[in-house]
Amino acid sequence: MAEISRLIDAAAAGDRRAAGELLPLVYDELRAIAAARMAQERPGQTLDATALVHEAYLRLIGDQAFANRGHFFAAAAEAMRRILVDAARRKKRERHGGGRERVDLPDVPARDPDERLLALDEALTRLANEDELAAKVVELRQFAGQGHEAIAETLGITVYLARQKWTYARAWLRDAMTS
Amino acid sequence: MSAKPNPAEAIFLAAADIADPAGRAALLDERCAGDAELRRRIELLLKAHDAPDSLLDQPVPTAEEMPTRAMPVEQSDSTQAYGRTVEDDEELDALAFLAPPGRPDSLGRIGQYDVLEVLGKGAFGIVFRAFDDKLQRVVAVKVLAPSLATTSPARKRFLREARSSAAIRHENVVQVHDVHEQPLPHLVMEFIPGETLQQRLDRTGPLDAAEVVRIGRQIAEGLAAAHATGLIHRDIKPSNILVDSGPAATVKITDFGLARAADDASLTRSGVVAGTPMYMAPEQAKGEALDHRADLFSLGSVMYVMATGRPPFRASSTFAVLKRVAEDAPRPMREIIPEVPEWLARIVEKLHAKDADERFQSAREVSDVLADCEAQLKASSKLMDYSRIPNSEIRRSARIGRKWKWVAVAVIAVVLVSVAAARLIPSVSRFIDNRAELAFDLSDPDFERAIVYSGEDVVADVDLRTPATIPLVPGSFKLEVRIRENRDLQEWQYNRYGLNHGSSAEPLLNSNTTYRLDVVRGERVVYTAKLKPPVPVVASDGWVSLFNGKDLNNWEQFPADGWKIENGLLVSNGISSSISCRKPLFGDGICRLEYKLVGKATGSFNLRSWKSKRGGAVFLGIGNKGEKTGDITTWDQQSGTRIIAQANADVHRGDEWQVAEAMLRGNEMIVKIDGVETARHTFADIPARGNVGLHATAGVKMYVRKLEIKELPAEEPGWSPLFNGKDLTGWKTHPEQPGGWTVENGVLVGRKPSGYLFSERGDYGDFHLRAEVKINAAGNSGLGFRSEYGFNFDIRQKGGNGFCPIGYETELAVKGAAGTTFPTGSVYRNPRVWDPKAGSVRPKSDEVKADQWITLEVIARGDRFTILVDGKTVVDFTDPTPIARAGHLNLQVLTPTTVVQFRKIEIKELPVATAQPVPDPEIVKALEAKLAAAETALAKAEARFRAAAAPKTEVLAHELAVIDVKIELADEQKRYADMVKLAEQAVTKHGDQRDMLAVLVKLGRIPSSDLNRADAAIADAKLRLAKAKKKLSEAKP
Repeated sequence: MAEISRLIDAAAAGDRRAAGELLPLVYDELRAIAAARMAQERPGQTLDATALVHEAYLRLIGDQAFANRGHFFAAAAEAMRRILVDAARRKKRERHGGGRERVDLPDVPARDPDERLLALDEALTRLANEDELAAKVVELRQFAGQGHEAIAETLGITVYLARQKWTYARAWLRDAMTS
Repeated sequence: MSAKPNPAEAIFLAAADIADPAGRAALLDERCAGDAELRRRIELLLKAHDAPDSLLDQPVPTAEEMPTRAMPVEQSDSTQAYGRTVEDDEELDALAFLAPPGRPDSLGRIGQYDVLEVLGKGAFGIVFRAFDDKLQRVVAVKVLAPSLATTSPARKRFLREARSSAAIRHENVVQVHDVHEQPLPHLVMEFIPGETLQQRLDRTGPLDAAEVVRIGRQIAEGLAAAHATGLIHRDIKPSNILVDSGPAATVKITDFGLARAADDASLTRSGVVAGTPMYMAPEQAKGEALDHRADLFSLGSVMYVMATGRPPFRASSTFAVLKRVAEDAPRPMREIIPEVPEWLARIVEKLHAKDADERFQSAREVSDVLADCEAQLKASSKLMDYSRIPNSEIRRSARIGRKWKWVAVAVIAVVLVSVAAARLIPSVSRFIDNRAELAFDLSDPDFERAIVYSGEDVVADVDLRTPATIPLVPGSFKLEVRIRENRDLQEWQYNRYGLNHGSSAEPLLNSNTTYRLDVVRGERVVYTAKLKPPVPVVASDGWVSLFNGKDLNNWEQFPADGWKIENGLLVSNGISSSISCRKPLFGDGICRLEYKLVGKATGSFNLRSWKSKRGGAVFLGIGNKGEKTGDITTWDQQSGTRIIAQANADVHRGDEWQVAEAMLRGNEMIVKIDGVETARHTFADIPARGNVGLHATAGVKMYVRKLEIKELPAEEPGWSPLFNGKDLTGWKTHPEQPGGWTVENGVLVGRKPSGYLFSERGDYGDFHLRAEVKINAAGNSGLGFRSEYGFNFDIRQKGGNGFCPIGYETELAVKGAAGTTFPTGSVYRNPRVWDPKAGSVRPKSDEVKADQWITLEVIARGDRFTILVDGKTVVDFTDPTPIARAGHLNLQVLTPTTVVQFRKIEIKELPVATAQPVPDPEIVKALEAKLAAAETALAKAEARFRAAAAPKTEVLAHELAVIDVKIELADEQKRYADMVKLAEQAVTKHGDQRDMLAVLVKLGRIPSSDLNRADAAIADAKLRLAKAKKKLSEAKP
């Protein structure tokens, strides 16, 4: 716990290496919780990303006042995105792999939440090339359950800009994922 | 990262804000000017913008749902009439109008209603959740505050308006079932589970247009129903709007007509907070005649706050708010939140017309327009038909009001400000052009300095003892407040975290802690603190007066007007009322009350109450259940007042001044009335410190002319007093050498003739003796120990055998006094056979002055003697040829000019060191086997966790099991330092476990009752830690 607080503080102070070290730590923790959760739950149930991130927060940071927790969420959002996308890929592989249970599906990729998630991930990567800030806003919102105010705080921007970026990014992504 | 919008983004955002297609097209024509590719791109984005998306539109919880125990957001609107929290249940004491309860979970009865819970309190009174046992349903009961109830016009108006509001039957109005006049005016309403709109907004921030319209429409419909019966609400504001927690989230207006009753009272009685004027209509602010259209203006303000998160008319003082309501146009909503649609802004603008004739003319009209918007939004998620939306041609220019009417309003406003301002420190006072001003309340003298950081940079460093504001741009800052050093931090922390702060890891507040302060658009103050009254001055004799005869600033009372000051006396108003002194808290000491009871009823004198926890009380007067003056009583919710120790004499004297004294030491309480002890009791459980308070029942007049406390240092375990402050009990003079010993004002004084005072007990061996003593310049005295009480010495005889009692003596004399060779602290050896070389030991320093109280300590352990003066060791020697291993203590007067005084003599007998017990090898072996098994189980659980087959909680449970065995083993092997460390680990781990369970509870996976078990486990672990620490300290030499 002390280690992670130190890293977050260092990341907040602009230490890029600390930010880099933070991600695997948060990632491991999140993956452990997610795995435990998956084991408890019925198969096929989706994970509540927000709840997982918050649980990880409690476990890693505790309930103390923590000024720089935005950096935690930035790392957690990225980690959560990877975990969910990995899970979706794995499921997809299991379904389509080996042709064991090959079923002719009508072409409705938009109905499959995993496919949608993978499409979002891909679109988000493209958006990041064009507007990195907008992509960060989406990541924090979709994968760490952050509201506009918290996003603004994490990214050091105004709430107004966070809203604007979200409006733009949402339209951009929806367009990218449907066209 | 680039924050600058690209051209496509900027045009898209501008276009997305325009709801009607024609307007959008016009904007695109203008901004894309011939760039067909750009325009196509933006049109695609707009199409995507307007379409719903199952993945992207998942509702995301806001960060406010995160555990933020250390960053509480207190509600700034303290006048909530229907708040869901009760911050201080001290007032329950004063709920004396309730009859005895009819069921076990009830606090008491009012009429046919069993009160189950206090839901909240506001300017008007208290709201209870209650059970109607006739109709077998849960209801809300609102009781008019006694202070208002005694004002005849307010009372009449309350009853009249409440009765007429009972006539409104509408889905959007809280149904009033019944109105009663006795014992206090109260109304019975339907109980709505849910929250107020204020609480909702505090929780979520601004609402989207659809929700603003949905709620606004329902308020308008409720108002329409009320206006149809001729009733005006007069106080429409977010805290008077309830949002049902049911799936339909129905909105209900409450408190019809109550504002009027409160107004009447506040105009005639100063100091009563009537509520916030932020939602008032201009005609109300100016004190002009008003009609139902005033409610429509307030509805406009409520819609404004819903859409933007901030009330439309805000200013630094109540007076300035009133002025803005009357004269200024609020800042356009779209400047604050650009997403607010134009049509919504126009509706609110029309409601906000200063001239009632320019507003919508009826609530029905408003509800129709909003219903139309609601239907359109449902159909196509935006507004297509603007035909019912008003034009934005309302004059924005300020209208000049009739200024002279302001004078009357201003007087009240000033009173309100002084009451309200004391509650917020610091507060973001206003937002101007995207900048906030942080203001600090200066009425709390305990704050000395505030430092604001942005990252590591100091943005401002302000001395809080002079007026100060700090301009801030929106963003996140750290605020550090330096508090005066001797402030009672525990109490302050209590106020910051509230009653329900049951954390296992309590964050400690200290003046160097940094708190986060968020300044965001839409005003949200994260940091608030309450004013604490100044610390009363301690008189030189140790008595602290709690009542200054002038004001009640340091007191909290319930109800508000229960007590007042008359001619320097504190007087109850003849209604059932409690009052308690905020500071200082009372722990070990004496509390003295000089009081007079007039009339037949009774009162009490309460000690060490601490918020919900009751201390002890001294009953005053003759009660109807056999209670009488001098009884020790206590109070709890189940049984109310209960006698726990009866007075042994009838000491009540009505209509006369009497003195009640309560002495508390640890858990023991001794009561004296007029100097005569009436009762004593040792409590099983009583707060260590708490407030001093008074309670008077209805019908009685209780006068208080003096209330003071004197703290006594907490008694340390193992010490027993050798001098009782009254007489020479426990001592005897020597028949041949008596000396002159008297007790004067609690002080034991020794004068001529020369002689000795011996302790009756003669078996003091190893001990720690402590005396507070004073000697005159010409005096020579001493403190003897391990002395023989015999007849073989003569004090007058100088030199030779028998100069002093056989044993040891430590000298007590100022250097240079007659007959003194050695100064205070020197130890004389007086062996049985006089030996001129018997020897004495001189202190390292001899700095004891005449006529000053000093603390002299003697520690005798085996043959080693340590003498301390004022805590400093002056002599420490081991006698190679010991004279005695045990004996009497004695006090000496050597020369006729001696005056020696003792005000405290106490002793702690030291245990004779015994051999350490040896661990039992059998038990150790068994425990080691148990430990191995637990460790194996833990390893298995960890493996399962790594394989994702077990939750983390299971691993934690095994870790705790291992620690438990390790503690047992450490205990058996007498490794107490290890035991303490392990017990500390266990406490931390149990805390972790609770945190995890809390998450599971939050997610609805386990019932919240599981947390109780976790709390119990934490308490258990703490207890074990305390035990381990005790063992460790006892084991240390």
